[in-house]
Amino acid sequence: MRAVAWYGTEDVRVIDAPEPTIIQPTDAIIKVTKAAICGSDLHMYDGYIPGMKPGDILGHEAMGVVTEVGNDVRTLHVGDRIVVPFPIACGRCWYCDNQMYSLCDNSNPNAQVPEAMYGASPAGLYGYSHSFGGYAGGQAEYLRVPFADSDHIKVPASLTDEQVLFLSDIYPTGWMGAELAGIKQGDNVAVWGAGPIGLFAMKAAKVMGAEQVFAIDHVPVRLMMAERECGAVPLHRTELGMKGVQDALKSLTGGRGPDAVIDAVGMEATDPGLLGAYHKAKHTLRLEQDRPTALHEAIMACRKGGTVSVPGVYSGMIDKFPMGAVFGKGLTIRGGQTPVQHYAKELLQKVETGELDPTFVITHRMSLEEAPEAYRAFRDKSDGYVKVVLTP
Amino acid sequence: MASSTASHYRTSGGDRRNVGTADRVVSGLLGAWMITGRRRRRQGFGKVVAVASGVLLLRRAATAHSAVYERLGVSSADLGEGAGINIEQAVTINRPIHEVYEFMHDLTNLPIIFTHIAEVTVGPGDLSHWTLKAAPGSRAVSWDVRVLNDVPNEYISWMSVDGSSVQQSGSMHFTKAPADRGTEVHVKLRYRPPGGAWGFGVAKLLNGLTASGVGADLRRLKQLLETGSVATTEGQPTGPSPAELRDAEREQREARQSKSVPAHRGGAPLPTKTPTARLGEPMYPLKEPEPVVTRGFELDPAASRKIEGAPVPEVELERVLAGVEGVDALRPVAVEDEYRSGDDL
Repeated sequence: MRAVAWYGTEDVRVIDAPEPTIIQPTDAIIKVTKAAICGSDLHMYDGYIPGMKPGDILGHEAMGVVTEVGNDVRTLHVGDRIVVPFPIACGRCWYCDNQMYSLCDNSNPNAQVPEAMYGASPAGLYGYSHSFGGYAGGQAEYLRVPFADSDHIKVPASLTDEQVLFLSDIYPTGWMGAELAGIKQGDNVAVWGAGPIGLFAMKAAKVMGAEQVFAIDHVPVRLMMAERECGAVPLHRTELGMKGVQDALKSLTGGRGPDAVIDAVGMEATDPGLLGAYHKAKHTLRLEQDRPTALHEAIMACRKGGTVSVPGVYSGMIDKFPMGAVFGKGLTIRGGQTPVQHYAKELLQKVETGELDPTFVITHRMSLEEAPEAYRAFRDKSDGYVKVVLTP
Repeated sequence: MASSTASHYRTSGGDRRNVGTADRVVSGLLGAWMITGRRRRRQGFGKVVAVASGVLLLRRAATAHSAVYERLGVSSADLGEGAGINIEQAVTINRPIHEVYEFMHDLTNLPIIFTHIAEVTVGPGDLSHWTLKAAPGSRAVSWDVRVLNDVPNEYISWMSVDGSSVQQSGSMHFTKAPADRGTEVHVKLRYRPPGGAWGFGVAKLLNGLTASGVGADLRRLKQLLETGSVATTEGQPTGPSPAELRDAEREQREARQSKSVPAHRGGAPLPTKTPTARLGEPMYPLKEPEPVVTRGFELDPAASRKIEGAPVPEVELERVLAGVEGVDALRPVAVEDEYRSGDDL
């Protein structure tokens, strides 16, 4: 089969690989009908995620039709059309029992690696390095789904692939970003990052009762989408500068600051100023694992007693973290990988009723064969790339 | 050996000495040499490293404590109780106590759980015969073990019989975890060789007889009891190695130069599953050409523009020709109309 595989920094190729087979009786195999490239895939593309090996198949946003099921699979049959949640969850451990699917105890065969880095291992992930299990990803013609009974979202024939594909990751992640921010009626919410996660978070924030939503980004196309699709107030980070953004947020909220802030940028935050240069230099030399400028700004802007929501992605250590501000202002920080399975039913319903149509983020549709070009342009944010959908 | 069941609950407490006398002497001499020895070109950073490691070695000699040994659960100390390998690990398994107890109470399951144990055969009465996995190049060690205590759903403990080549004792303690978390299992394993713990300890590193090794064993046990199998990616697809890709490119270039259609998809032999094609066999079924569509930001994402008259690239042709065992006649072909409607999620 054809598949997108990682071969080094900025080296992603479409290669031939064997088709997946049933390895455990709880597995299912799907023929992938649509896959997508995620902003977090770009961290591997840029060489910032350790634990990658040449030949690793990428992709954690996939959907398709079941072609094979293992002997112990009870709730799936050949021919079922499903979306695959990106965290691999066994459905039997205490974490899964308590809806914390992205913290599953049992799905990472290399659990000792994150245990050394973080103290304990979260769930395994598709196509996201050997630290998280080294599972082959979904930017391919076929995908093996372990724990298939727990890890599928059946979708009705009345919805197109594009309407449901994002249930795998970005739609629940954006939604969770807003939910963790604890938004109440009348709150003002500032979102750093107007990519797909930020855009979904902004829409969700409005649904949850936000009075105003502010979108902070560098890229004009994304700010335009935030304004037009989500009704957000666009704040152009490069034009305003760090201080300009902080001042704007203060004045637009009557001097108080936003009640909740969402960091939908993550570890490769860019800042054209001095602080950004410092972090970029350290990051390039691998003296620092993540770049925290967006998080830093979000913390500084948040009003006292407010909430900082971090849908991610962060991978390691950051430098110059304003812990004093967090403590002094009594902030709550919440975050984590999305327990997609927990949100699936609720968010699928919103698609079915038309309350939220996720297709608005799609700007590019390409064939799997063009993935290398798509990765590069998506990373450079050129040509108006916001979300790419691939067809194998 | 004066150990009794009570001693199994004695924590290491204040006495952290785990480095034996011979070990201390060697550490001390090595440390002193690192600090004072004159070596050519040892300057700058190299000197700092040498002095630092020398200081650490001297401290190890002085205090008879090694953090590394502690981490590994190894001791070269010649103090009665402490010598040898002492490992304590715990895991919480989301299954009822009796299920966990029954699995671990069956000593023949221990080799399934613990990497360092090769085999356990249950002998007459409360005796059993255990065999450790042999370190490479040495003979397997085995001895007889007697179960001392077996309280259902609470506690199992055992000890090697007197005169065994390896003195060994261990216990498993089961308690109900708080709230709905399942069962806590606390495992203590102690191995003491007849003499010279050092070599024994090092050899066992290779066999998983370390604190982290046993921790990983218990994690796999948890996976087994909670989900029925141990998570793995063995046998999953992966792309060819960079070397194989280079070979494939070279073959393609050569094939193009000789102007012949290669018998198989032009490239290096791929791992087993991908079939080789034979020209003349039915091409079933031809894949519907998907529109390669839409570049650039579009105001109406729903509109997609087909690129008219786009030639099917050579790669696509080759792929279709190369045979489609992957699209099996026996497998239902996935067609938009035939999707089942969603059940309860």
